[in-house]
Amino acid sequence: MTNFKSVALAALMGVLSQGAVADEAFHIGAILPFSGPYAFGGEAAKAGMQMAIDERGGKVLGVPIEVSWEDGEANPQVTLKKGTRLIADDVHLLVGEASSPATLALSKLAGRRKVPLLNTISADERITGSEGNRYTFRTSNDFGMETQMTISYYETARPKSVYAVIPDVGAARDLWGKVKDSLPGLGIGVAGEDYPPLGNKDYAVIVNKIANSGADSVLAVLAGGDAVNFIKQAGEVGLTGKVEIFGPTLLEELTAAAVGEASLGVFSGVRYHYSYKNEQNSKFVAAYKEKFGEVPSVFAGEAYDGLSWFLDTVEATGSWDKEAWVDAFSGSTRDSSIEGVKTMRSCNNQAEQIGLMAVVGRGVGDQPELTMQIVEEFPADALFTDCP
Amino acid sequence: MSEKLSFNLTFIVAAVAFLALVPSLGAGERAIYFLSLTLIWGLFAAAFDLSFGVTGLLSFGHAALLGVGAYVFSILTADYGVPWGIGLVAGAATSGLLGLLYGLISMRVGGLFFALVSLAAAELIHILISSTLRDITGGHDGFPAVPRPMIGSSWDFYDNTTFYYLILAIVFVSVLLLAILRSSPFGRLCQGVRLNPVRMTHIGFRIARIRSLALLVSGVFSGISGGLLASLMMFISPETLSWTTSGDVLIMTLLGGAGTLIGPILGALVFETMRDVLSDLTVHWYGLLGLAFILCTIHLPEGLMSLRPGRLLGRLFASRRASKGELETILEGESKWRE
Amino acid sequence: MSTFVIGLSLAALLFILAAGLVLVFGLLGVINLAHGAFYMLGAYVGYQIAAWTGNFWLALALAPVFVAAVAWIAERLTLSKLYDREHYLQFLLTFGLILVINELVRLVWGVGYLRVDAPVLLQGSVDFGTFQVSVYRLFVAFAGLAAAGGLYLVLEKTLIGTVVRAASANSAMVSCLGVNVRRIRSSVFAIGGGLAGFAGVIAAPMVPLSLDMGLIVIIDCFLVIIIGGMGSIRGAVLGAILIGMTRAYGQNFIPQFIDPLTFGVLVAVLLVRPSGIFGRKERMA
Repeated sequence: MTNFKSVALAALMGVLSQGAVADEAFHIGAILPFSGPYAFGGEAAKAGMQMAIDERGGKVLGVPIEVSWEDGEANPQVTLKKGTRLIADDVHLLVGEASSPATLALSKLAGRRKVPLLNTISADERITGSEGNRYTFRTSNDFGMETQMTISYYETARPKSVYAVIPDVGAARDLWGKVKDSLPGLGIGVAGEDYPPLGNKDYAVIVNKIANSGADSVLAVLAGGDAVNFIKQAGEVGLTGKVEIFGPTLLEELTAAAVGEASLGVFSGVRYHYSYKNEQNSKFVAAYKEKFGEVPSVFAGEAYDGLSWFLDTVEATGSWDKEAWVDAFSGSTRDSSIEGVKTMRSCNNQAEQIGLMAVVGRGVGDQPELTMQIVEEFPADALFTDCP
Repeated sequence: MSEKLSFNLTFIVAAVAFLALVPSLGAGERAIYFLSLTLIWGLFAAAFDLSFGVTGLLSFGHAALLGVGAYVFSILTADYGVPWGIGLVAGAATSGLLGLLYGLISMRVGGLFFALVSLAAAELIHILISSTLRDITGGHDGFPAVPRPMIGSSWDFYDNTTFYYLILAIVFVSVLLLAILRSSPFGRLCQGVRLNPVRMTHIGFRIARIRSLALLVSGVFSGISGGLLASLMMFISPETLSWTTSGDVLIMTLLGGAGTLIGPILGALVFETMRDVLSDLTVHWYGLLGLAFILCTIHLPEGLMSLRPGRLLGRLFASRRASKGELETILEGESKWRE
Repeated sequence: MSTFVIGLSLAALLFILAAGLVLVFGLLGVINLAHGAFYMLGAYVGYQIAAWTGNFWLALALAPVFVAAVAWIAERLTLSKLYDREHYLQFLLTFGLILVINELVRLVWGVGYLRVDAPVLLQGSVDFGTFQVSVYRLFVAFAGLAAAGGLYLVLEKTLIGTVVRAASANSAMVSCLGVNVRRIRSSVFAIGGGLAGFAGVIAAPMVPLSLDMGLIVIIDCFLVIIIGGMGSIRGAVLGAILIGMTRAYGQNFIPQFIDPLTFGVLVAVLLVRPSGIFGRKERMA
């Protein structure tokens, strides 16, 4: 599980830090969106966290785990308010949020108040990059990974030319910028690029432009409702049959179902998938299905994995000192992750992990009707550069 | 309607005295943060009421006045190292100018139409800040690292309790100024513009100018609350500029009692309390709030302040159908399709 | 050319959406903020009917009726008590309605994305040689035209339309003539809601159903009405076309500036004609 050296160090620190007194319960403050358009993600993350807690008998360090579930509304102001409240109530761990700006705001607060923050949803690089801090950890994908996966995808796919649909957001633009730079070296042309505003509902004109551009591949850095709109409207005029569509965060089961048949054959990166073959994942998926009656979504899986990892680390330190947890978690490796092996980079608190690419296909047996089928697994060392 | 300055002043001083003692009475950090937020929203609501309750201009775009002040303050202090106080003033001034712009709009359209246009203007600014001006404002992701003030070497304003005192002081002074303004001759002019614009014009007042000035002042104080909010959270994001914020301040004002100084501030307190308490109880709290709001609009249109015994609120806010008669003739004809 | 057709379909949907709002404002003097919520309700109810019966046309016919009924009840229970009061109170009550309706939809249908498929008849696309347009979009364009034409005919040419227009101009006189003005008001509000619901079902195959869909469209509605002039159906048509075309052509050439451009058009119109293109003097059609 956690690597020996960091545990030993943490245990030593635990012994030395007199001030960390055992408490009666381990208090987790979870700030997730439970209302608004991201509520689905919040509910799923809650389910995943619940699984992680139940699995260890609801206890850590010999005491029960208590969770305060707060609605962050994917809004930084609300998230900060709830975060301040939770910190005032002496939480031992913060978990949240879903939207990147809310997570960034929360992360700043956590860093100032020296409370560990676990994020398993937001992908913005700055959370574990330029705006990161010692106390903020992310166990799920970051946008840097997505960029690498996109470039790797094109290395394999080698279309003649690409049309890019990039929402007018900094992270998406950055990703396209880097990908665009790599294309000439792969002999791939750029047929066109469009920057619709975030939340745009009508892609019909863009779809037309793509059709007329002669591109055989489309890079759509969209997600959620925007992705559904785009692919649905592309499907309306039969574009989905003519070009190969890829996006790093484009689709997963819920959004594919919202699109319908037009989503078949669309490629997307997935941050976690229930069909990933490994022992821990199979156990987790089976247990999740039994409890909730459906397969775990990406948010549930990542939340389960991240929280289990952190709680195992806390357990191993045997201490109530938050500094010890943070020291132990940073640089630790999790061999029993439901995604294989994850390592928490000590330089930026981002978890190194595999990347998965999938295509939308028809589910078999009790799988959802439209499901992601993994076509490629990218090893962590292909997606991350070493810590300096 | 006369705004009793003495009443307002007494209330303000008493409230501030109480609030200043709250930390010493053992209130935890949670309560202090809550009060800090409520003070800021209270100031914003009071500023809003200057335009709405006093001058009769229903703006559905006040979120932009709050947000622009917040962003200007944040960018100047975080990116350009401008001192905190000057940043706050700059933010307030910018919002004041924006308020003046709203005033120009009010010259072209009036009544509910003005409400819609101000909504559109605020949305435009929302879009500009969240995407077009992304490079300066941080776009959708928001603007982190907004600083707290560095005044004097012994005060650490990064401590929420210390900052609370500063907020209390600034809000106190601002509300004081608003109280004086409302009871001043200018305040009376604004009320005249609300009650009978035609008469005012005939007497010789330039109602367009009065409205613009009211919106300017409303903007200035909205900008101050925006800067305080950004500094409290040490973060500002475009969500603050969405039309739901404009809706929220309107709810606060009406809940508490439009047309009074204290009503909107009280409304802010009630609103924030309800948000906190209800959201702890159920995930459907926003729906319950809507229900409460509907009931309030029907049964308590003058807000909580109307529950104060012996207080006659202006003819415009009369809730008894009987009094509508001649009022309708004056108002409906003019205010509904205001030039 | 394809841009033009797409712009037309955008305009058509915008018009159907805004028409209900225009109607309610023009005849009742109420700006119904909950219009977006009725739109969303229509979409969700349409989804449910289509899911139960497998028939989109049935959903298209019945969902608006359901929404109209809800609107009728809402009006009777809440709005009707405020007609004698100041306009902003009505405005605000409808804001409260949004919150309640949103929560009810969430209670029944939950938080995920739902999908409605276009009926088989309307699937696929039409080849115009140089470009393709989906059949469904053409259907929407026609529906918009039909709605505009229908509304105009009913309001201008039929007796009931005339009664409604007269009631809005001078309710006291009309009630002296023996017309039940209260019922007319409820009906108008109900029809406005029904139109919004109709727009919701029509839009459902094109957009994913989610809890924030009402909030997203309400701004568009207001844009259309402000530009076209409050209370004018003709204005709503023009406003819808203006915005639909701006969006379509904007997407073609400068997608990242669509929104500022749309608002820019708004400002331009307001500077030239502050009450909208057909505003003020004409209350209806």
